[in-house]
Amino acid sequence: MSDGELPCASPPCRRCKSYPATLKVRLEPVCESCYGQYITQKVVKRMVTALKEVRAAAGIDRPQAPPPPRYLVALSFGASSTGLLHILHENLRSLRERNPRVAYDLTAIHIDTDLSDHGDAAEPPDTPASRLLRTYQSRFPLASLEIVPLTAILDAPTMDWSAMPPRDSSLPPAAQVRKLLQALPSVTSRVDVLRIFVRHLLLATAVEKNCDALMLGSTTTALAELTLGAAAKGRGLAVPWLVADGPFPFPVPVAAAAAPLPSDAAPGGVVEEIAAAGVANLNTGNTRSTNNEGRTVPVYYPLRDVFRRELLAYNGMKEVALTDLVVEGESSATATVVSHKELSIEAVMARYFAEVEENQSNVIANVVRTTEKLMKVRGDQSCSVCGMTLDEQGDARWKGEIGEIGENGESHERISQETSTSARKLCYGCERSIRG
Amino acid sequence: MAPSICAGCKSARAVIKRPKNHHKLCKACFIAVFEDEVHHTIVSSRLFTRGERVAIGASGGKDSTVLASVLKTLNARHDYGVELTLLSIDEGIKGYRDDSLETVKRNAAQYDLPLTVLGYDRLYGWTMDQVVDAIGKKGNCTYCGVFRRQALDRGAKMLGIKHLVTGHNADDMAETILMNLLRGDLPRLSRSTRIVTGDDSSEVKRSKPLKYSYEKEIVLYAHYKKLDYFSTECVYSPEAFRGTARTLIKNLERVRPSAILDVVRSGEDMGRLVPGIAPTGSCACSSTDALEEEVENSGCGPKTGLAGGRLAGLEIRHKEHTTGNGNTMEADLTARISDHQGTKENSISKTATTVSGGQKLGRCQSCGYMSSQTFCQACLLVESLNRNKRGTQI
Repeated sequence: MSDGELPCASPPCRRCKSYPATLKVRLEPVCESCYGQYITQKVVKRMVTALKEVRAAAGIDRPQAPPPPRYLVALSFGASSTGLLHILHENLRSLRERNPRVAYDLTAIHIDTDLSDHGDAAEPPDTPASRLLRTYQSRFPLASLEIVPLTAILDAPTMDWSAMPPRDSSLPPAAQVRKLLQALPSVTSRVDVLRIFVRHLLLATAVEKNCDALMLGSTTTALAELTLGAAAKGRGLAVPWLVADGPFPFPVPVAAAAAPLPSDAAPGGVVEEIAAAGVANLNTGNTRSTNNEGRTVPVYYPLRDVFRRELLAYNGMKEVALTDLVVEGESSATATVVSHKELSIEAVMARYFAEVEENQSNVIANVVRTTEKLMKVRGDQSCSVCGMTLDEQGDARWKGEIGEIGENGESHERISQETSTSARKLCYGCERSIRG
Repeated sequence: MAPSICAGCKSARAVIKRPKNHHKLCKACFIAVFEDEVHHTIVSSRLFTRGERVAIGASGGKDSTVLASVLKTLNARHDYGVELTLLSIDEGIKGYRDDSLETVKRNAAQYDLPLTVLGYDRLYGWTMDQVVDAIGKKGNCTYCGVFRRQALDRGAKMLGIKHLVTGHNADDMAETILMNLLRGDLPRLSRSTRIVTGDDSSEVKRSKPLKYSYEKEIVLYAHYKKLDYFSTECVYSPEAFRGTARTLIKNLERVRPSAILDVVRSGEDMGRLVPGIAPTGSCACSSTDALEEEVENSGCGPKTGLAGGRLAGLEIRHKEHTTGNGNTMEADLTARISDHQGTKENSISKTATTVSGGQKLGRCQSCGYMSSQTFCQACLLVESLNRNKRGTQI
């Protein structure tokens, strides 16, 4: 907003009538302070719901002071997660002053996806991410900030490697993960699997730190992208789990499913039973009984009512001033397309919705509100990579109806036989991403 | 670089990289694979019954021409024992439909199939040219689409045929799925993804045998089989909203060719997740709410009745929305829907009048065509056209 160029001063804010209006809430001209309130209120509303649900899940209904819930914010250093951290941090500051009873503990975690070799040194080196983390820590003193390297996925308790291509364990960890991603069939596959790895680490960290919920910084726009992106990757069945607030299935590898759980993940803590969420079972129609496979971690999107451009405007306000802090990779939504082969489905969606947000932001809100209404279903078995439910009957029907014939001319019967005899179970979306 | 060898027969030179999965094939193998896949879809969905009369909705465009050619071939090769006939609708668009109808007439001769042509003027008293004169170019596709859907049904009924096949391809399916997601139309999402629409209760069942065939492969098939088809766009510009979804699909396909089928798969799966009864825009329940009281309901799930036994074990629990008809325009409809819900709560067995998405199927009081409202959409549109015409005459 270049107010200086206007011939006369900005009109006063329509809400507080005292400061000059420099921003707009829908069509209403408002000042920065009122705009900040407007954005913050949307987030706080979601946080209130989260608090209620978290306390209900933990069985806390006693009137006396309950322990503060622990929230884990996923921080990518991008605009949305930084904005979310700022809003929560400000909210926490004022809660501690005025209403400590509903304050919470705030931890932010950055999954460092840098896979260059310096990550393999014995001493944690001075990586770009760790330098950035120190800057962030000084800006957000009330939160505790940490880094988890992507290579931690190799030892993540949630990962089942049996369905992944074999790794060369003689290589240093960063090189192992790098090779694994490079070997995937397309850019989309790499982005997809990388996202799954990051989510694994976030969920595992939430459990490890005994957090009550994981807070993700996706805006309405990002959730719409996520919905259509998941649809385009054949992950339709997972969409309600990915987009709606609430319990998210905690992936448990087959080998570990039989073993007892670590004590910090005991029921009633961070991990609640699926039955509590009233989730329908895909195959039996029964809600699940206690079983490791049915464990979930509550995940919330506090920015789900905020459009990306609204958040960018918030980040750019003088009082907030996050724009310099944020690291935005080359913006996939605006960069010129050199080759479509180098684009991911996520990038295509980002471009599409950047355009839609300009002209028809109602469409975006519509997508998100609609997909929230889809039912979450769970079957008896989960995909060994993404942890979402397997739909074997659906897969069998699909293969039957399409009558897909393999490259070497083998019939679909053979293909389906091969996949059914192998113990490594993948959902349709992961199958596509890992095997092409 | 040595020329690639066909992955199918391992002898001929590959001349085609399949758009669907980039397999390299020779011409003969491509045609065989394409036909085999359609055959497979037909068999596994049990689309046809022996002795059935089937009308092919033919526009003269590539999809319906390929459909007619493939069905004619497969019917002979695999002895489906169905009696095929071509059914064309003349929308009355000069410079477009009159030319494409000529193509259909040639096709009828080439494939030796009977042809029936039915005009909008005869059915509705309006040609599309007249509609556009009356309402302008904007939004006229709505009229055309509504009219055509009914026109095909009426045509099939006139011929005494109970099964109509259309040339919708995988790209069309994917586009419709994305469009319904963007519109937030879940009931339609679950309905549109099915291969067979309209069940025993409706008079004409519709199916889409090319639902999994890529548009690009249809074009290739038409090209290699040297089919005679008409490829001019409709003179009245295509619907803008569909346009953006189309572009999105094409971009996705360029990034990952499997994306079209993946969207179709996602659409089918998401269709199964649509809560039982949700008239568009009037469902105010949260997703957790929607899961609290559940009623087993196999009659409403999309795809039931099409794959029969294959899906029999798959039960998705639906929630009955006992509230939430607030926005429904007609009190009559509201009453009928809640009445319908009442029925279902008492007896879970399938009612013959249920369509997926929970609307109650009735009959248009004016023309008798199936409709969930008092009057069907086509009658309402014709009525508004006639009203406006009277208005201008005065």
